Amino acid sequence: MTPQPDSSVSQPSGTPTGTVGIDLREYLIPLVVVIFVTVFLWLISLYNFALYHTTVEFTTIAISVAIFLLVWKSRKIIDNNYLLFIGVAFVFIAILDYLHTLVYQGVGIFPDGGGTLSTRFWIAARYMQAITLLVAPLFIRRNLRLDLVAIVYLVADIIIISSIFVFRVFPATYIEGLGLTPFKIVSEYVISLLLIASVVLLYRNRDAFDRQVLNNLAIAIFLTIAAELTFTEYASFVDVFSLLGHVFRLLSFYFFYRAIIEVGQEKPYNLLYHNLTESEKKYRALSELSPDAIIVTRDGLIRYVNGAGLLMFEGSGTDSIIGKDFMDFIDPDDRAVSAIRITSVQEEMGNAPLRELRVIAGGKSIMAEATEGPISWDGKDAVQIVIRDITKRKIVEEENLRAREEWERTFDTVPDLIAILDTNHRIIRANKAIADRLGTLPEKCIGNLCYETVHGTSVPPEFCPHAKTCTDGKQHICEMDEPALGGTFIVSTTPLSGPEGNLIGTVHVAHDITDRKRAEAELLEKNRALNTANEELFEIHEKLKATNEDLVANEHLLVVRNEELTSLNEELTAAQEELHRHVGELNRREEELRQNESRLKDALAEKEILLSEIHHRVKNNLTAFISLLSLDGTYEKTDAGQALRKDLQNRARSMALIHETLYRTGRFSSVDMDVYLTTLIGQVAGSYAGNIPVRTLVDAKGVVLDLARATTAGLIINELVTNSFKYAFPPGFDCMAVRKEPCTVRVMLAREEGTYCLRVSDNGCGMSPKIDIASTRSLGLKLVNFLARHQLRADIEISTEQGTEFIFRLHTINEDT
Amino acid sequence: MTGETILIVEDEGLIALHLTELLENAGYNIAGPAYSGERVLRDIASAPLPDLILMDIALAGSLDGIETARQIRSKYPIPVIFLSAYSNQNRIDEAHAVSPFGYLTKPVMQDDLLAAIRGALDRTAA
Repeated sequence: MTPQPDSSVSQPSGTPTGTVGIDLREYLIPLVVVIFVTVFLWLISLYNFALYHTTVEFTTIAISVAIFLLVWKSRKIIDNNYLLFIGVAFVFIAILDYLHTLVYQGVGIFPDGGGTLSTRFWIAARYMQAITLLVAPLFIRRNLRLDLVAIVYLVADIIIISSIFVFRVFPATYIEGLGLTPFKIVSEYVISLLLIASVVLLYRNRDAFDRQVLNNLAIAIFLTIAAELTFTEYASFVDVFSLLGHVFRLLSFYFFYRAIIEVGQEKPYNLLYHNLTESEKKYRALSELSPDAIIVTRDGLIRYVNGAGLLMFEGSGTDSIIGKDFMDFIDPDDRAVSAIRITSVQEEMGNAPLRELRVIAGGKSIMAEATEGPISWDGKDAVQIVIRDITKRKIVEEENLRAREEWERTFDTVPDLIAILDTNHRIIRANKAIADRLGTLPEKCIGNLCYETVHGTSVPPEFCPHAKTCTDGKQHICEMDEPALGGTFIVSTTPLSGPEGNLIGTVHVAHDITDRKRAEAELLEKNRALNTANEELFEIHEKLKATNEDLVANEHLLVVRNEELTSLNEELTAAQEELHRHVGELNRREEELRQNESRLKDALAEKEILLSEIHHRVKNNLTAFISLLSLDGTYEKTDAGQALRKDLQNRARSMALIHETLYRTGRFSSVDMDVYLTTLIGQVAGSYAGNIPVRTLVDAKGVVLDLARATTAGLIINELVTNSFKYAFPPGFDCMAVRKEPCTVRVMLAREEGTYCLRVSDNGCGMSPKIDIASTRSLGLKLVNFLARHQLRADIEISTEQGTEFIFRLHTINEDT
Repeated sequence: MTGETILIVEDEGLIALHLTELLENAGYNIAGPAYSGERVLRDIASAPLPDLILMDIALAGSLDGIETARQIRSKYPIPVIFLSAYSNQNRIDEAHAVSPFGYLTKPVMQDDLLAAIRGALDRTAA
């Protein structure tokens, strides 16, 4: 176990450790253990009392031997002669106790021993123990030679053993059948008195003891007294007093154990070095208090190490590092320098300055700081080395460095424009953001006047928050537009205090709100638009509301209409059924119509045949009439008669030709005038073919007239063409000479301006201007005039400039009616 | 010369010309001839009323001679003699419904015509 630095060491000798002399909690667990052991032993005693006795006695013997071994092994460093003395004495007392155990009744090693021998050894051992405890305080401040002590006790043991075994002069202590002898009982009281006296002496020298050691020793002695007194009462080796007495004995040795072995292990300095000299105490106290490792080396070996050193180098105890080569604990790279420094200190007898080196601690190389100085140790020159573990400090330094770098990076990364200004408006520090805005580098801003650099003015501007902060020491905030920085900013100046709390400047932060301002303006505009839209929406809402009311009204109307439609639908359904019936009827009638149509077609075909036949018959009748006119005797064979016959024949032929054209063209109510007139003019020309060749021209293409007007037109044309052939080209009239063209008769019928225009002309000598068509006695012209006006409802124009030309403009039937 | 005026209503030109010459030769004044009922009804009020109307039943236009005569008779007490190529009894019955002064079938004989005209004028004068 590694001894822990204990604050009690630094306390002045004799000063109680803690506030209570005996810590009950410290004794509680052992007490429970003792009770348990006691019960256990009692149970053993019930089984075999000798076994019980042997167990107890051997336990006390073992503790005695352990005390002796601890004290003997540490005799060179133990400065408490009391402990040295009882430590040596206890082993000789243990010899007597050992013999007491061996000869105890029931063990059977000495058949003739029994109670007499064992109680004699008991009394002898207890006298020796009482005397030892009584005498031991006398050596606290005296020199003690352990060898002499050992010899004395050895002689004493020999005498006692001889007096019991050899000479048998040791007084009887127990008589079989009588019990304890008066010697035995008196001796127990005497021993008790000696023990009480030993306690008194012990307390008189209490300054030499650690409080815990002192208390445990006192308790152990009192328990020994209790055991002695108990042993004055037993009548048998196996009665209850004997049992209880041994329990007290066991307990007393337990406290001896606690006083010397347990405390010696846990707090060796309390126990072992309690009597060092005052200066040594102070040195040790200081060194143990030191958080730095303190090592004393001489001849290269470690002679002393304090608690912090033990902790640093993780030794298991003082012995684990003391005596080892100091260089084993120095990093190989630093050993040469360290050796030189130690040598230098020894030669110059002066302290070496503080330096960093690496030491081996816990198997690892750690950073440390060390200084060396000369010291006298055991009367010889040595070197004291103070080593401070700076691992944590190094970590902190590195963290500080990283923090500083991080802070500087942050300072330069922040988008806000930050500058630290002194009270004279000079820039102490500027971050990258403000330098970028100014088009320079942060280091080039340092030392410049802020108002010159930023605002380009010779004095601070009126709104300057830095000037205000410098005046009243408070934070100030303002908003400004700065073209040099290219935007709008919120500027804050926070007072910066020096170590003494005085104002040394400000932290000047400019936050660019240009975008925010723009966004605010846009937001304002959008808000206005939204308000407008909202108003429009409100209006629309109102309109919708009105529309909704209309819709509701319309809905009611629609419901009514729907009912009406439903009613109409029913009516329509009924009508549809009716319609279906009618459709059936219509189908039936359609079928009838189809049959009627078929019949009508048949009838029409029959009528067409009949009409064709009728026209053919009429034409034949007229032809027969013409033929009748040709018969001799019909007219006188005079020129006038022949001329009249020819006129009548031509007039009848013009009418017959109408009917011929009708049945030839297949039309029975209208006449193709081009066909009709071409044939008619040809026949007339043929009947008047004379010496003078006359050309006939007919043009009535596309003109179709009803039967009545065609017949009338045919009669008129027949009369006029007949007149042309009869009178227009008298013998000797040279058409080519007069008209520059052959003798020509023209008939033209065409549509003009919504009506028909009939032109009948010749390029002959021309009709006499004296002839009045309205009053003429000429049958031909009378017919022409009457038929044209009455039947054709036509206007008549007559021109005689280039022969004779009759122009008829036919009115329509509707116009006439 | 009788001097009475006769209005001829005939859409066939040759027949109208023939009737005009025949009645003029018989001493009558001839008004017209007209060729449609519509024109007769339009022009009759703008000229001196004729003493008699010689009315063809089949006329040009939408009005036939019977309807034209009925409308004239409803307004004017002018005697009407129908001329018709029809010998259909139904048409004759329809013509009688307007109380005509004669009904002659074409081709009409000259004497029959003049007698019918003379009788009608005389009955009207009486």
